[in-house]
Amino acid sequence: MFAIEKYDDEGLYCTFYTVRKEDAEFSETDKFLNKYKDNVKFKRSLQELFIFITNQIGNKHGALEEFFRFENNANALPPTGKHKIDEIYINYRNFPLRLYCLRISKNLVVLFNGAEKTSSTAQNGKTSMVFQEANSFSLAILEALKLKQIYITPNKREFVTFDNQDEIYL
Amino acid sequence: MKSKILQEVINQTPKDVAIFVDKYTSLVLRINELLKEKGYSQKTLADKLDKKPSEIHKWLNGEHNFTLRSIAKLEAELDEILLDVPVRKVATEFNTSYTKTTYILTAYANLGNTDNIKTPKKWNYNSTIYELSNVG
Repeated sequence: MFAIEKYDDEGLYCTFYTVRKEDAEFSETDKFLNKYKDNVKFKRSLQELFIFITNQIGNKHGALEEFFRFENNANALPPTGKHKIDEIYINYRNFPLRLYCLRISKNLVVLFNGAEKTSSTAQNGKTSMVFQEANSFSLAILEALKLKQIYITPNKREFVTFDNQDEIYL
Repeated sequence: MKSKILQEVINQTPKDVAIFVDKYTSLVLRINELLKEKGYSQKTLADKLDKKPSEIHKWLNGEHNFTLRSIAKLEAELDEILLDVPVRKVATEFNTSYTKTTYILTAYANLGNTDNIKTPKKWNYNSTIYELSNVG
């Protein structure tokens, strides 16, 4: 079981959610930040990545498809067939870090965890476990949407449960 | 709301990082937009610029920093402005025989001939009244 919670909803064009495992102190995205924010090797890249996420995606352009790279994983094709597990990466820099996410729409993205990119594919290297977990989270979220356990609000910027619970657990 | 850890990372991010990311994103989005408008593939562009397709791919996927020269080549080939530098124009208006107001106008859009600015995208101006010194 995990919780879906808001991560950043201050942008004009896109809201970011994240997931938190049961009994975990930090969300998956905060774990990613905590891991690399004080590492001299990755600090600048991390800053660029999250400035890109908050300023460019959140506040300026929205979650344009060209900002994301799709990790083609047949095993992770969701029930709807419309969404795939997306590796969010800044399309314009060769970043050493990968952050996984589920792009619901131009206005709604769920961020997961990530890791250092040590392989050309997500399934290998240091990112493989977080990629597998991202797949699991994404499948659960998409299944919940399909079964109408959760909805997207009319403004397309929020998740709500069918019974309007304050917290969302899947 | 924003995650506290995210806010901490954002607060520690130097201003130049935000500026760089903004300009880089805008530049690559604009180039991709122009390529679509003109019906160019990356290979077509590579051929026109006499470069390898892999090099164009690196430009457009962030693996290679743009230089001013490469931007100039792109502007020449695409026949569109990609980067622009604000133009500053000083205009003086005489209010009375004794005073004048000086406007410093900065245009942030490429308006071509700045002698005939009519609808600037953005103005910064200051207004200072100078006493003329040759009034007896």
